[in-house]
Amino acid sequence: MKFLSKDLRGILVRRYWADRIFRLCTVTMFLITLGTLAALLIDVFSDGVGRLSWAFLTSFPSRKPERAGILSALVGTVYLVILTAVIAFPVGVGAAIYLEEYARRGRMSRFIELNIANLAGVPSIIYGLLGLELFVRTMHLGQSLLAGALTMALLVLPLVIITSQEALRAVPPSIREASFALGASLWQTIWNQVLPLAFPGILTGAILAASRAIGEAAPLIIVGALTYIAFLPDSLIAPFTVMPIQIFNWVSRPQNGFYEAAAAAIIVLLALLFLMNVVSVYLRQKYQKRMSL
Amino acid sequence: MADNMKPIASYVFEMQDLNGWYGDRQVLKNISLLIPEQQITAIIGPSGCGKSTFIRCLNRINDLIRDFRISGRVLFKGQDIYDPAMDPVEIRLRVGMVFQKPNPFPKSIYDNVAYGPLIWGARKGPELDAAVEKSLKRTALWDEVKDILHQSALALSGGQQQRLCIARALAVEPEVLLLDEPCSALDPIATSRIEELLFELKKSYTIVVVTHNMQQAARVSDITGFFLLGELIEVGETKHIFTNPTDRRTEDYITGRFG
Amino acid sequence: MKRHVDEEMETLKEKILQMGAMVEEQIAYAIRALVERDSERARRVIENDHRVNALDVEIDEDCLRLIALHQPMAGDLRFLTTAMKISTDLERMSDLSENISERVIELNEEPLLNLYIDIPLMAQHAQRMVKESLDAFVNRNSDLARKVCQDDEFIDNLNQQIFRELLAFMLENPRSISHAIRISFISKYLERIADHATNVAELVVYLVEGKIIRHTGL
Repeated sequence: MKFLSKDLRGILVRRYWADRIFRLCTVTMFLITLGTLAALLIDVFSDGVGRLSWAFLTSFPSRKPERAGILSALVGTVYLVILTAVIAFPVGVGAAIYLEEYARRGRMSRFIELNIANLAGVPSIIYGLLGLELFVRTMHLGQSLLAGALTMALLVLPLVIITSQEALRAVPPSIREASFALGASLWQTIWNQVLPLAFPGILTGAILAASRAIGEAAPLIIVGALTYIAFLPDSLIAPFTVMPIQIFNWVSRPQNGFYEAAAAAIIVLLALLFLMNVVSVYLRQKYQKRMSL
Repeated sequence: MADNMKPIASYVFEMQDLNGWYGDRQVLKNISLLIPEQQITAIIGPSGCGKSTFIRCLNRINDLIRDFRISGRVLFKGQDIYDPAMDPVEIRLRVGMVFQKPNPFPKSIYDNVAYGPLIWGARKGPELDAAVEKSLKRTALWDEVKDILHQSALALSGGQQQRLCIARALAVEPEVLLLDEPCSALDPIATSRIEELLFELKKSYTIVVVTHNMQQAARVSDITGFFLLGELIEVGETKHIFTNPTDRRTEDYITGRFG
Repeated sequence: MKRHVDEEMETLKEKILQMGAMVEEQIAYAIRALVERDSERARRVIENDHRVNALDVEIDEDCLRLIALHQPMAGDLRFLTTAMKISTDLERMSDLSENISERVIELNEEPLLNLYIDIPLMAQHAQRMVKESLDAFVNRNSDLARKVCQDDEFIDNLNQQIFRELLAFMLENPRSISHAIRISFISKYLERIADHATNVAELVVYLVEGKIIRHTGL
């Protein structure tokens, strides 16, 4: 190789050093990220772990910090997430199936997809405003669990649609071709081959959406989730509250005891998120199949 | 064009001036061809000559490609399959297809073969079991898989997977079997097993094979058609095409002087 | 697109031409040995036959190898199969020249009877047929090949004529029978050589046109 300078050794040494420096930089970035997260968790845990107890989980909020509990918020969160999922999941997956399998590719469908992607990035408070006008006032649902769930469903719908579409797209076209070649209709192909294969991905998307919904406070405040509830919602149109709002409420109180209670509530919220992710991973593993050679 | 064909009792397919376009690009030009019944017809030609596009017109699986359109007629037993009144799904029941890369469903071996009958209304039960067994026997796969019917089809070797795809296609009892380069992804032993299989299947089905392997076309087929740049250059009895072709271009392709 | 195998087929063609040249020489020398009563030359013809045989074997092996390794089709396939058969015909022609030489040696031990009449003419004609059939092969000229096939008639007639003349002579001169018979054999051998040349010509027609005209006429 005549074009190589005689300084072959030098080039190799320089390359080696460049590699090391680059590696060092990326490791540092990683450690900064990890460190920040760790600091966050350690801070929260150290403040709140002392307050965790069965009583904490089963008591209603109270004006006295020692007696405050998250029962109503926890139950409200759980109800809200389930309800949101029930509404958003079929609608989102159905829309994704339509866009991916039935709709004709063209400027129109690209336009729609672009808008859905944009909607995913709209600040959640705007959804709150929409929910207020549409569900609370126009549909007369009042400041209820149902209105909250519908609002959250709207919020996470773009996410569900996008991730479901991705999951559907990941199914190899060869599988579809094979099904069509046997004389299957589009519906038979989707139901028997495409959906089962896309299911893990769709499920992951759904849980991702639920994780987003759990952490929202602003839109729910607008829709009318209360900050102090000492009872459990007994119907869909009952008033309700959720954990993030409860946490916000406690943090803005002057007493220190509430600060610790808020930290403890944060721990519970994180635990809930963690649990959901574990379930998502488990379900994904269970249903994931190799799709081809 | 068809001047080297022995008159044969009946033809299953007749193409009349078939033209095909992907958008503005014409990929099939004035194809007129007869496919005889219960014989193996091979379609050969260099890459990009339109042979895959051609065979995919025979079961209208090209309909799935958004930009594709045709003109001309494709008659299957006298009926134009592109007639608007024709349901492509019905055609695909009678004209089956096997693809280049084996594409079994990621389900069990049994479920793969049973899928066709099930979507056409078969019920689960001993009759379906018998149909699955019959298909697998016909592709000489039964003995190899009869004890592992409920294992994933993806655990089979490439050659076995392709035979499974053939069994799957046969399970709906088609009249014609189209194979688009069925052995491209397989090793020589698996290839020769599939070729042997085609000889067997010829007794009950009309077979059309697209292949870029000329020796395979020579070994296996009764009739060979040579495509070049979207046109059908020559078609005739295989033994004639490979010993004394009429068109200079056919000779050049077959002897490897180009392509 | 020139292929690797084209070179090998060129080499094969050269070998056939080489064999053809040898065979033409064999025929020419055999007849010279007859006309000049040169037994030495006759013996050399007999010895040379093994060189022609060796070439025949070589050509056969080459053809077999090329077919096995290159899976030829169409024109290439016809070329290799006709090359094998032409080689066989040429080898038979050399054998016949050998036979002529054997008869020449026997004739030279007897006194000259000047019965050779039209044998040299026949030989000349046969040689020309061999040459032209090989020319047709080299140039892929099926018209020339067809002409060779027609020329066979002349030799057949000449053979008949020579036989009648010898028969007449034998009837009048019984003591010359062994001599005359040997001459008739030579005539027969030449006629057979011409037949083989015709075979070569028919093969050339198959090579060029893909039509088999053997046994069925043109």
